[in-house]
Amino acid sequence: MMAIDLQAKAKQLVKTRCEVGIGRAIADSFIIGQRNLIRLSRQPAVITGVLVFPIVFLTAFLLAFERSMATQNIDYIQYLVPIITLQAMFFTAMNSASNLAGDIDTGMLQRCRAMPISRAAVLGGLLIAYLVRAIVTLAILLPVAYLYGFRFQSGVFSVIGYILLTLFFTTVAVTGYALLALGLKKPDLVQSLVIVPYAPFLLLSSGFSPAENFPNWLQPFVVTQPVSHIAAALRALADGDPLLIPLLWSVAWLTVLLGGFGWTAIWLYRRIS
Amino acid sequence: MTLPLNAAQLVKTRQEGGFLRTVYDIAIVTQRNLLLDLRNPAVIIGSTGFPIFLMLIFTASFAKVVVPEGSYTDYAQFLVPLSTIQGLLFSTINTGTALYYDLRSGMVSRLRTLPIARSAVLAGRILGGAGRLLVQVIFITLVGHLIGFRFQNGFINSLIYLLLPVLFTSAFSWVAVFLAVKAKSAETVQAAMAPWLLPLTFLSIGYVPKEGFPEWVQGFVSINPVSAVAQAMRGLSSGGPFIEYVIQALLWSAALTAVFSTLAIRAYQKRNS
Repeated sequence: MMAIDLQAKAKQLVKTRCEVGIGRAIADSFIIGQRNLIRLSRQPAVITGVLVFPIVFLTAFLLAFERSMATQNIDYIQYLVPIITLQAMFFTAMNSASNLAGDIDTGMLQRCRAMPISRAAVLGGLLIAYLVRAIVTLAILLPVAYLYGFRFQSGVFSVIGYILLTLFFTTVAVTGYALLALGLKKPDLVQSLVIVPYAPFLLLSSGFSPAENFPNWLQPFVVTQPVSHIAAALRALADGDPLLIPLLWSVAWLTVLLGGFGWTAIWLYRRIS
Repeated sequence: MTLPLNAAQLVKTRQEGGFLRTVYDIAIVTQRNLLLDLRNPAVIIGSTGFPIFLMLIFTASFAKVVVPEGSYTDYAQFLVPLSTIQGLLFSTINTGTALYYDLRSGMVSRLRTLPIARSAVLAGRILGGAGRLLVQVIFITLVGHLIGFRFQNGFINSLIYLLLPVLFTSAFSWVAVFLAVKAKSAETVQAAMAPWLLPLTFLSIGYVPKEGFPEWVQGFVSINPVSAVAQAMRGLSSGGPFIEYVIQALLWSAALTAVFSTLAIRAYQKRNS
């Protein structure tokens, strides 16, 4: 009699507090996201990562290679800004992995699980915080690029498209890196391995230098891999060039990756105890 | 009574203040730091792997841009010195963070209570770091060999080639050590060094010859100490004049070491933990 009573009461409580459901999941994610943002705003390395690094990379590459690229008839500022944008998003995602690993290490993740919040909130909150960081990064990077001579050639929709595609990429990258953190769990290990996906995909792409400049045996990889397609789509958006093919490739790649990463991340998250 | 009875006599018997004793103490602390590195090979592999990776990727993507008429091997011969310097410079950050962890964990306090030379903590850290740098030079050069880098200028010059960047970057280890003594978190060292190390290496003759830069940057490129070291290493490995550049590199190393070792030692003495 007593037991049934309690169970009914618990059900009623859960119902009043609306612990499940999409609305609750979103609200919880925003709370965790806010917590992540507060933490981000207090890390000195994040400030340099957001403010300084993308601009330093943009300036360094532009100064070092603009003239050499001009001999290949490439206006390097237009060519370079998309890949620097993607690089900044990679840094964002890499930082999310080490912070998530830190949460696993300190027990924050377990604390979150013990609370009456949506199970999606930890990963959702991580994503929200890092998308905000990505927007801040873009808001700093693009004006500086404008000062250097970077121009959107075809109106306001291309700017919106550029930002949306960048954020889609960030979503996929943060999810992918969450996988790394959930799989490895140890912060120092994660810290030393975040570079492993970054280096080949960002640097062996047609983002910094056209694919024809790579050795023949590397070109197939450079041409097919997702970062090359996304950089090409961003360039097409900025330059007002034919967009359809690179955009389709990018969206296809990103959707497939998001599905794969997301599914595996949720699976790994459930297994962590 | 045959036993020495007062402290002054004790100190005298144990020769705690002498020059030889200082050298011996520094050697012991250096050995301890090197042993720590040996026990954590992942750290060395990680911090050596990244510059090697950058070197391979830059060779693949920019060889045809910088030397359009040359081969990938030609660019490797050109690039390996700079990749070496760049890798070592970033590695000095690790020397700083390692010291920071020693300060925080109480290892340094422990060393201060021991009857050893006071300079042993910092000097041992720098020398231990130099040992690690030497290992990295050798690794990077070996991989450079695989992509076509060759010593073409005799055995003695090759030896100087290996030692010069270690000496030069050890001056930057002092900067990292100085920052570590002042720092409030391990990330601070990273955040305070990475943003200027990057342009310092890019805006040199390392990736691109001086003529590749816009005129207004060429002045900085010429006086950049990294340019002098890269030029010296190119002369030492590939032939051509190098004595002038070796002297420049040595003078830079001496000046930077003098300034930053003084600052670091003063900061260390002021610190009361």
